Amino acid sequence: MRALTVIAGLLSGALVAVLLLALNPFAGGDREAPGTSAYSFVSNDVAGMRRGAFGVLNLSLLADTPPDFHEPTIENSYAAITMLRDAQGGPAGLGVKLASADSGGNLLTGDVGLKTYWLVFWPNQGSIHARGYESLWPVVSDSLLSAVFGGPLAARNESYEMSVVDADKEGVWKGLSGIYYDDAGYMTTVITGPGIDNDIFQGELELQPY
Amino acid sequence: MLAGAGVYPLPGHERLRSGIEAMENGGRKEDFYIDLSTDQVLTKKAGVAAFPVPAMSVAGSESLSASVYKIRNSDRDVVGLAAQVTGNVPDSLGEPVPAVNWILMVPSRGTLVLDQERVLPGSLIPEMASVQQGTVVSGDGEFAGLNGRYVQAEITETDYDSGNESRYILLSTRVWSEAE
Repeated sequence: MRALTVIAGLLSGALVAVLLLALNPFAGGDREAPGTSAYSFVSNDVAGMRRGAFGVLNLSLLADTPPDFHEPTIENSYAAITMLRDAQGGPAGLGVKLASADSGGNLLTGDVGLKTYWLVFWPNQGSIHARGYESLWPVVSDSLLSAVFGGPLAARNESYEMSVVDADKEGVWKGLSGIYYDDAGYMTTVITGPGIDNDIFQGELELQPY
Repeated sequence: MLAGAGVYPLPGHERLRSGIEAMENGGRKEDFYIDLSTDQVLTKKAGVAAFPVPAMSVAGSESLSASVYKIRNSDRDVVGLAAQVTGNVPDSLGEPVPAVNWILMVPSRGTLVLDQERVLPGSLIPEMASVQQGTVVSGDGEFAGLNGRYVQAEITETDYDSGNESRYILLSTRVWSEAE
């Protein structure tokens, strides 16, 4: 009986701690969505690390599917290619995204995320490259809350705005060719359904000139 | 547990030896390789509809393409990922010219952005076939503040033990600090 009480106490303590971590008051960051040119995308051309809580919390080995990349130099990275569609749903450009886990983060402060890089090409117009940072803290905290209440370690909302635009982790794009050569601006992304289906890359990319 | 969260081991990236050579001007030369038989991770092609205005079409001629590859160091070990996009863009007169852009991402170190030149000058390496070259536009992480040049070539190597041939894309970068 005493042992059961001790175990129950430990489990309760762990649950409260996870709950506190998920609702961590130290976590958070400046976020804004300055986009004026928005493109939606849905693609299953994606490979690499799990993009939900399993991947960001370094728990990929516990996930139900093995990681795509076995090389330890890239196992915490992913890539995706997607058609970008304009507001009318028509194909407008082709985007490639590379991302890797930010190894300089801190779970206590909610500083968990991905460094992201894009190449976007509009045919007969030009191309740009962009770099940014996606905070996965909203996905992680929501997944932890789901687990605390007996659900899977997975995000429950349909979409999360994850781009961070601030002085340290800027989301910026710069022109490479064609009519966009030497142009520059801000980039934000909204990723839909992270941790729900790892094989689908879906969301919105917003680009705004300075 | 909250204190433990502060030291929680978030995912990192193993770092391998970099085959960097110092150059006379203070810059550095580094080669990256793509094994054409094994390293393509993703690829997608799209066409361009010419009427009523130039616009993309999901089907059609393959005038725009994107690919993702694993990239290797000079020991031929995988160290990162590369994204390449190829298509046509207008030149200063509005005429379509080919453009090729690359991002090389080495997660433990940073990234380089490459832009192939629209007018291809003569080959720097005459013994190599299909040589292109361009500029290293920018970088971040360890590559921040660097720019320079790159040469892209397709090469074939023969394993002396097995006699097997391997075909690679070689991306040979020469970078230096913007201040130099």
